[in-house]
Amino acid sequence: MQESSAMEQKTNGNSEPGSVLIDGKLGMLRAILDIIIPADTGFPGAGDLGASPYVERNATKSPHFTRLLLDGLVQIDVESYATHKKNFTDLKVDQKIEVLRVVEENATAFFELLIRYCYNFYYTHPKVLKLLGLETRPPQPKGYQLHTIDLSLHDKVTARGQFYRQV
Amino acid sequence: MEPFYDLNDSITGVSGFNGDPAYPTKSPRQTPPVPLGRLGDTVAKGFNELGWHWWPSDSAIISQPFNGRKGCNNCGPCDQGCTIGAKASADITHWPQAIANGAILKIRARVREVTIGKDGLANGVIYYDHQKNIQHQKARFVVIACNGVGTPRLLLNSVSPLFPDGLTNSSGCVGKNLMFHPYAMITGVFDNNLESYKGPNGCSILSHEFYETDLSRGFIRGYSFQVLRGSGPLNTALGGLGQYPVPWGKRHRGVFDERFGRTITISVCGEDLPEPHNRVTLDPILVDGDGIPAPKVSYTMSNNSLKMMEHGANRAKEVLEAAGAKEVLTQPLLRPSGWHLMGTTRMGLGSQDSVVNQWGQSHDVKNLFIIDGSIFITAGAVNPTSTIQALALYIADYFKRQARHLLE
Repeated sequence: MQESSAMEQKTNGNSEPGSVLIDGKLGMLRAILDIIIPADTGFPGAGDLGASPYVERNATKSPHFTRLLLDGLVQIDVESYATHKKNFTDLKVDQKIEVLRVVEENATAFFELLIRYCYNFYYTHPKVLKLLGLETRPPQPKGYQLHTIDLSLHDKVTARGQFYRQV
Repeated sequence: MEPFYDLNDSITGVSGFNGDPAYPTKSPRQTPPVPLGRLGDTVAKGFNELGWHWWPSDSAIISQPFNGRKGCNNCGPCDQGCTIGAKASADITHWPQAIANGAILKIRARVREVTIGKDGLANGVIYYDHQKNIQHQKARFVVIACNGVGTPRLLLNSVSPLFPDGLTNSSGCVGKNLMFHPYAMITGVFDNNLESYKGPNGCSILSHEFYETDLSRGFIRGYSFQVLRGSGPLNTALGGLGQYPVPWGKRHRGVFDERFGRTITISVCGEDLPEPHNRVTLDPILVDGDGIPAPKVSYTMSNNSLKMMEHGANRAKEVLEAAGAKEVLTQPLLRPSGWHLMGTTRMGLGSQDSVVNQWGQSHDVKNLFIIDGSIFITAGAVNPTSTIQALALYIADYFKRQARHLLE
């Protein structure tokens, strides 16, 4: 009984009901997303910001994306071992980039979805919007103020006279 | 047509600034032009540097309150729907008046075919209502407004012994001569923060410098430039209007920061030519949710349009560089740009080579009218909606005056 419980604990240690990622795969996804958008000049990496649960949650909504995600992560693992004999999470940054470039070329559909969900999470996150100098509010009801154009800029155009073909 | 453009503008609410030398004098615009901000100042200077035409574009977006609608407050994502009603759309401009005058609007219904009586006149339509029940709506006159793909699809689906090749298709023209507006997207990246994500994201400045035919360019007809705003942070990262995604990895932050709020996109809107091989037919297998044959769109860009797009892309690059762009990104042909749909039931004098007459009235079926972009003979190089609506009013006016005599 104890041995069985220990096995269950090992495989389900970081998963929640409805998850598709177990056995450290969520941590691997986090490491991947920190390469997709790395920490830079005060901005957090996408993985550190918390993008991996978001990506996984979206995968659970679509059987197609679930498969793409699981297959894609396996390919990343396979490529990591094939070229560096290590888990992806144990590679150096440049090695991780190299592995992801290979997988990007070989698993285009997976990679495009990964990028899309990563960017979706990152660039709608209040912390990132604040760092970009934006107000974290919806566009309405305030909108934005804009100045009107300098009307003297039209002078050169109007000086040309009629510019349409009379029929 | 001018009185009907004016009438339509008064219903729609158009912002703009009269005096454009590329047009005859228009009636006063309903509201002043939408503000152009730093983006407008910057690109206008580029056009002026080259001595090329430009003007603040008329927009169907009111800049001040009009007809009970609020003025635009420059929030940006117009194409996702305007929550304050500043951007015009028929549901808030024309439909309320039509319903107030007695029109009955049936929603969540789908027309399957137009029916014909033994006398060769249209006598109604068969449609699926909101509960998916089949109905026959009888009518003395039938008016179709499903635009460049939907209208030929409906006509080709309306087969009868009198019209074995589709309704009102004695000419064989139904579905043929499909015209799009091919688009190129040329984006300039600037050092200054232009706050380009602020403001209505459609056209801000228009140029007709290369609108008319000049055979020395190697193609006939021409194009307009439409200067577009930038994107918000997410769309900037995903690639914006021109579809240039910010690369992942070490360069991500730097490239994003270079682009966000610092881009101006010039779209090149080209005038397609009518060519019979560009057409709408019925798909032999695909159907919609009600089992109605789906349209099949067959389109090949002509050499004329390809040369036009190349010329336009190069000229747009010149404008952006003259305006101070440090980098120019070129999307020479926007793949998903077939959104203006015209020409597939074109007007003409006779039934040998056209589908409707100058009043949108079918040559073959006297009580059948078409009032959408499918009746265009040429595409022009500007957005067609204003003309479609003006034509609809023009035809409706004719119908109103002549209804008693139309079947004589």
